[in-house]
Amino acid sequence: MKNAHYRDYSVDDFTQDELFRDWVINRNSLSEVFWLEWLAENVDCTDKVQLARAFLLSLEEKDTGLSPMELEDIFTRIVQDSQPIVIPFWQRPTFRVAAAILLMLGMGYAAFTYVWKPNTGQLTHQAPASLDDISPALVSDVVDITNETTQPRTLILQDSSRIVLYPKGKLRYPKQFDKAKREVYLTGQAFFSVKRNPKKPFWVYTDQISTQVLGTSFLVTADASHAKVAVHSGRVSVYMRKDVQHEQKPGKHESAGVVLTPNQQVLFSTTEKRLVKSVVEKPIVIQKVPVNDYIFDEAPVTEVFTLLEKTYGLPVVYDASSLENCYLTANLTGESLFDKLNLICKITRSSYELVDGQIVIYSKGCEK
Amino acid sequence: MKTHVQTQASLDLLYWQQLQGGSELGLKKLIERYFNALQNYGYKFVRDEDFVKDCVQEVFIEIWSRRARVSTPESVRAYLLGSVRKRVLREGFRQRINRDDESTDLENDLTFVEFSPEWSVIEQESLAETTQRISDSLNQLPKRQREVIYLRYYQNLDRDEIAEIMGVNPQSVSNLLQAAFKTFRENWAGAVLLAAWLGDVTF
Repeated sequence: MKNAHYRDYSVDDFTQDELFRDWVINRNSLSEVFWLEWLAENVDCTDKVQLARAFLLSLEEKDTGLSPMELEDIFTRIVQDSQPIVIPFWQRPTFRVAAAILLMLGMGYAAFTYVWKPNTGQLTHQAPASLDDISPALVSDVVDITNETTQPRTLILQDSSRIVLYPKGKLRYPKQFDKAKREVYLTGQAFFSVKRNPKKPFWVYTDQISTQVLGTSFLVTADASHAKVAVHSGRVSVYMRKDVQHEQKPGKHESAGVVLTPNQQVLFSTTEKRLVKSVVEKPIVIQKVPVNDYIFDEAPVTEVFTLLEKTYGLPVVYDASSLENCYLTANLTGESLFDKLNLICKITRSSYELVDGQIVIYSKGCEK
Repeated sequence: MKTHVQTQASLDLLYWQQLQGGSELGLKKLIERYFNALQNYGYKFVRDEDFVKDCVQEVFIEIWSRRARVSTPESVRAYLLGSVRKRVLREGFRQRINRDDESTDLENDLTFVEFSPEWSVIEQESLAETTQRISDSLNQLPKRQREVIYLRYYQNLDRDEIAEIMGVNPQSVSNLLQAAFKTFRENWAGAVLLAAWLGDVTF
């Protein structure tokens, strides 16, 4: 008989046996198979086994455990938050440098610009509004994180916003957010999922542009000569750094910024010194629609455009009167936005252009 | 199966030492292995998931931030359980979640809640019935005896580990357990199955 030694087990022995516990406590199906087979061969032990099982189960509680994702978040936060206190600071090789910096900070504004600028590298030649004018919170008592690995790194801020910092990306955030706004400073590329809080707008500063959001997800890329913000969800406002101070004054209604909605992006080019709004390279579906909705049978093409607007969150601009007689019969299920547009335009003898983050349709009209 | 327990303990030790050396992986492994068990354990004292989650998290934060100075415990699992227990009780007391009596003695303020097994997972009726009977009997025990039973059987810890967690000497653990079984036996008088039980519990 297989595994005969279990026959001599007392209830107590069973409750301590790892294989038995694996079945009862961990609900491991392989262990379960083992024990059910064993029980079938040792029917006279059923009572003992059932008692041991019942005993362990009676001690069990509702499972209040967290998901692997939540555990990962907790791990990330612990590592990140306690980073500055790894080694007593006076033992660090950088202590003397740090002390020197502290001293210079003590000397005030001039010292600050001196310390800050070498940190942000060569990017400051445009002389946008200096950071301490815009955000005093990002000058003292901050955490600087640089992703020196080759993998994207996830950070979680104290307001639960998630930031994926891509390799070589640098992020600075205050140990404690300001009362009125949440502010971070970025060099490189990062994807932000900002926790919604209308009372405390979230600002991402880069050397050239600043992005304001209430709660949304978007990608920011900033290098020496370019900066780009692409929106996945929600609504964000992007400003040139020089306009930010002006923008943050209360009671101002006219905006110098650009408002972005999902699937739109804005580029800042150093040469043109302006913000250019466009559509992201690969627009994603913002709002799921039933699969069959993209099968059209003699549908007015304007209806098709309305559906596209809804699906991708991008405005479609067209002259309704010239499209009056255009009908579409096609199955566009599964195609990307641009493939859909190409097909529609081919069929309806029109063309499209992406202007200012919108889809503009030009049509010569269709024959009756 | 004893070897399995030993393997787990030596793995724990390995991760602990990695953590001491500053390895994030060591910390990560320990969180993956124990966070949920600790969370469930803390929940036995205070019925507030968020509160317990914060406590468990703080235990890990403290270990991680003091990693260069923390010593190597005899049993990592017992050390973690003990730390969570201490923190949950202390913080719970501070927040006046525990309002059992006026005593300021934490041990007496301990609210080791009653057992309430999850019925959904207990499929067989006879098994459910036995489970209910056992938990009824357990709930009649004084809470410290109940806690010893829980640590001994559900957590499968030995006497020294339980002593460390509860902050008492090992002999007290044995006494509590013996007392628990005495009461338990009386409650179960006449039950045929009792003979199959631990007539010879040695601890």
